[in-house]
Amino acid sequence: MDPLPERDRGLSVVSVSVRFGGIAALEGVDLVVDPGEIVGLVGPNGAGKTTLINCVGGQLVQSSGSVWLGGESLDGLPPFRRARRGVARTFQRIAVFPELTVREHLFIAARARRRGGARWSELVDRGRPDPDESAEIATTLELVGLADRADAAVSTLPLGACRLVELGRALIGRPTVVLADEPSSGLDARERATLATVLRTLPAQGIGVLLVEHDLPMVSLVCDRVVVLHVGRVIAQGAFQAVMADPAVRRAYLGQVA
Amino acid sequence: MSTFLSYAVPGIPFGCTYAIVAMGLVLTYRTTGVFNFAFGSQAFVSAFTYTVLIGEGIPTWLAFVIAVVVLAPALGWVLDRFLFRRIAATNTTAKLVSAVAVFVALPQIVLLMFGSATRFSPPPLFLDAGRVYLHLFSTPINGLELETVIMTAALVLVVSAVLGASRFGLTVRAAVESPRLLQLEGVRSDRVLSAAWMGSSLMAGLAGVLLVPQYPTLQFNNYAILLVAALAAAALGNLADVQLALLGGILLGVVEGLASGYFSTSSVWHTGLLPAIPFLLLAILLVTRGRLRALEDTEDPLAGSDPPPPVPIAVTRSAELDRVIKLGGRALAVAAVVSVLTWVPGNWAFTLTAGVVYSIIFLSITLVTGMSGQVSLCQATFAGIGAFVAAQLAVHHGVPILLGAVIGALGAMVVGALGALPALRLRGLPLALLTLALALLADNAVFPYSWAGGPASGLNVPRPQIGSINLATTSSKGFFVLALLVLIACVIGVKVVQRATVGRYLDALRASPLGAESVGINPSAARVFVFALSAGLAGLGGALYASLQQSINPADFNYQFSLVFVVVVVTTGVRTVEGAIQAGVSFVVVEQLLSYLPGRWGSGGLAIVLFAFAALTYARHPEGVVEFQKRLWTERAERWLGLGGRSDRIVEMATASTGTDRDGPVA
Ligand SMILES: Nc1ncnc2c1ncn2[C@@H]1O[C@H](COP(=O)(O)OP(=O)(O)O)[C@@H](O)[C@H]1O
Ligand SMILES: [Mg+2]
Repeated sequence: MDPLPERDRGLSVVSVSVRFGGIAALEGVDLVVDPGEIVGLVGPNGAGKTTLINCVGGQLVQSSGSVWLGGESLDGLPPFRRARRGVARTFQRIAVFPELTVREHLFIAARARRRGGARWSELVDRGRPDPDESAEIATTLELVGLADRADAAVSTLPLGACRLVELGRALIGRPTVVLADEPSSGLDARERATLATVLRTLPAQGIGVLLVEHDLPMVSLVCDRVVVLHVGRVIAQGAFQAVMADPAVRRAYLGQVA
Repeated sequence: MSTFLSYAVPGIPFGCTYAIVAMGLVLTYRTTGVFNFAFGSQAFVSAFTYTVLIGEGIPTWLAFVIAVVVLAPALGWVLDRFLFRRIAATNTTAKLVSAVAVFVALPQIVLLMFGSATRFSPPPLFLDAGRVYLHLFSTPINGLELETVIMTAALVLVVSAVLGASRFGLTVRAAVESPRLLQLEGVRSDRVLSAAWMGSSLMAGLAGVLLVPQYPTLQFNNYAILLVAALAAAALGNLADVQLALLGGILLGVVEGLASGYFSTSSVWHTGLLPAIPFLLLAILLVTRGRLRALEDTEDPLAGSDPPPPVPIAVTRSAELDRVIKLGGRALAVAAVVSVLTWVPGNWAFTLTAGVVYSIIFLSITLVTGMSGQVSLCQATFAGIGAFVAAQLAVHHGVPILLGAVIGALGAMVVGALGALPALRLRGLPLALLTLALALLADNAVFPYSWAGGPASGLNVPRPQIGSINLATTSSKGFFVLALLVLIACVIGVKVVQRATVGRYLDALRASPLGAESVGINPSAARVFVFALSAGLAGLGGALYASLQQSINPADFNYQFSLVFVVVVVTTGVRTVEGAIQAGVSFVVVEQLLSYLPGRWGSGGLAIVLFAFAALTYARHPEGVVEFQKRLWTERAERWLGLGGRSDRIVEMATASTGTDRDGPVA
């Protein structure tokens, strides 16, 4: 597939394959997330969803294929450079900073994503948010519903709140695309509602979302489009209802249940 | 052919001992997840016991049985049962620090027990070293060479029989994947772990005893080299392949034999490259082998349930108590300084000055280990670079010692930054191994030159001259003030960085490199920065140390100091600047107090043993035992005084952490 048509778009993954030893975790996966679009990525366990997100985030280097963001190739860039270019993500196995507070998480992310430690003054400054950053942090805290726990160390928060911290950390600093890896696992009903609300505010800001999710009602609620991955291949994509009616998809899911 | 063989054959016995220890390393690492540095010391303990017993007139076979068959496995069993088994599988730093502490403590313990007199090596076990038993392509093979080969072959047969047979191998694999998972599934892995520890300790003991007749006298340093050579061999097998490790060990011995044969004794290759071969090999393998780098990524599937160490109590104690303690602390510090300047006798003033200088060096460990979460085993080498640069400049070029100290610190900084470059993608264990290799490389191939570490008899280093004040003549108290001022400046510098944006980035990187990089923090830049800064601090401290002592020699900053430094700082608390200062002062004070003890007890070894034992609590109290006690007493005080404090979240975390300790992997 020629990457050129996607030039002015958000995220585009072009025939990406990943092999671990002899096992193919992804095979020729194509996927596009336009700005302001929420794309659901579903599939049984081991389908390769996390592997795909790792390829976009830079945590993993694909065996072949390429990843583009806003018409520029991300291939060969380390994760931190991709983050500064606008790729944000959460982790299936959470990767928070336990000793730091929620507010510190957001501060670090806001500052690192914007200017990435390139200034000498950061060696001697006071490590406090400037007014712009403070405003951004306050907005994000409200958005993910953690304003009342902003100064708690993250190690004292339950798993659900930690996932929201990761989401906030990903959203701050206006990324181009957000990769959310099973953000709702471990969340209670209220936190799930918050999550859905947060996700639905993103398209208006032009942020694209790739949402990996097992909670199908949530997927049908927030996603514009769904991509189904099975054993490393895209087996269906399109509107939620249509995709779920696809016999191949039913087989993939039922096959796993049985 | 015969020249080739006559060079290669003498390398074989060395190669065999490397191979045996390498096998032991791989086996324990595979089964228990512990990378046991202490094997070098365990080999030494067996060798020492063997030598002592033979000196007492005990028959060779009995000495061998006691030292290798009884003592070595017993030691392994004790280390497993009372130490490593209590450390969570995922706590890399704790495992590393504990192994280093054992490595440092064991030789000191045997030396304390039996004295450090020179011990001449007994002859080989059952063959005659002087007799030629057979010819291989007309190259004579003597008893020593034949004997090590026979013993190694026998060991290999036994090991492969044990591993090949039974379900032992399978259980071993499961234990490597996740001891905790194994426990959840109700499989008792205790016996497997014990067996692996005892077996591999026996190997270490055997290698130790086989190495004895290779050298005229028993020297611990040869066992440190044995360890590194075995590390390199194990690295050849990616720390996973026993056969490759075995082969690698023997090859390494042969290559060393060939190198020492073909390089003429006077050439720079012979003096410079030859002793560096195992360290260079280890360093190159660590940097280039992807699989070694990935060691850190093989995570326990049930990880993440270990809570982080608690926040320092100083951050969370109640405001009232905080005020009192800070005031008290300052008063104490002022009183100590005034005392040193007035009534404290000269030798104690000198000791405390040394403590201040050590504090500067130890701050470098606060940076690397406390702030960036990596264990570096070459901080003494950086201190040495600072010291030797300053000393050489002063002695040969007349550069004032303080200017020399600054240049030395800058030099160490450059070396630290350059050293960080190949290490960028390493963390945890592989990084620690790389720093150890670099330290030993400097010890063996750089510092011994007289242009670097000075002549073996030592370099005379001047005391500073500030204006008309010559700190050499105004006793050491002037120097105390100078050192104190430098320390204060360094402390302020570190605190500024800690508080700055960069400090926050380092907090994030320490807690989760994955998470930190995903928000745009450049881990490489942070790593280079931290290593450069910490090397600079160590270099500055080293230069001051040289000037304080007024004389240094090449061995003053060898790798053993690096290990001891880590152990000492970890004991008092590696996370705080205060911890570094407490470490510096308590290190010298304990040593000075113990020096009043009679005979060998006062020789300094005891202090190292005490600190090492304290460091063994790192798994339980990663914040340092001293910090732990501070928290305990602060909480008590708060309860007695009825002060609410901000420490409720600390209590919560503390109970959580002791909870996991108790029902940890297989405790
Ligand atoms: N680091 C790795 N090494 C080997 N195999 C892996 C690795 N990571 C993932 N896999 C394999 O790749 C496949 C896809 O995994 P993953 O992307 O985690 O699936 P999902 O997130 O859809 O559940 C699985 O079969 C998994 O076992
Ligand atoms: Mg997944």
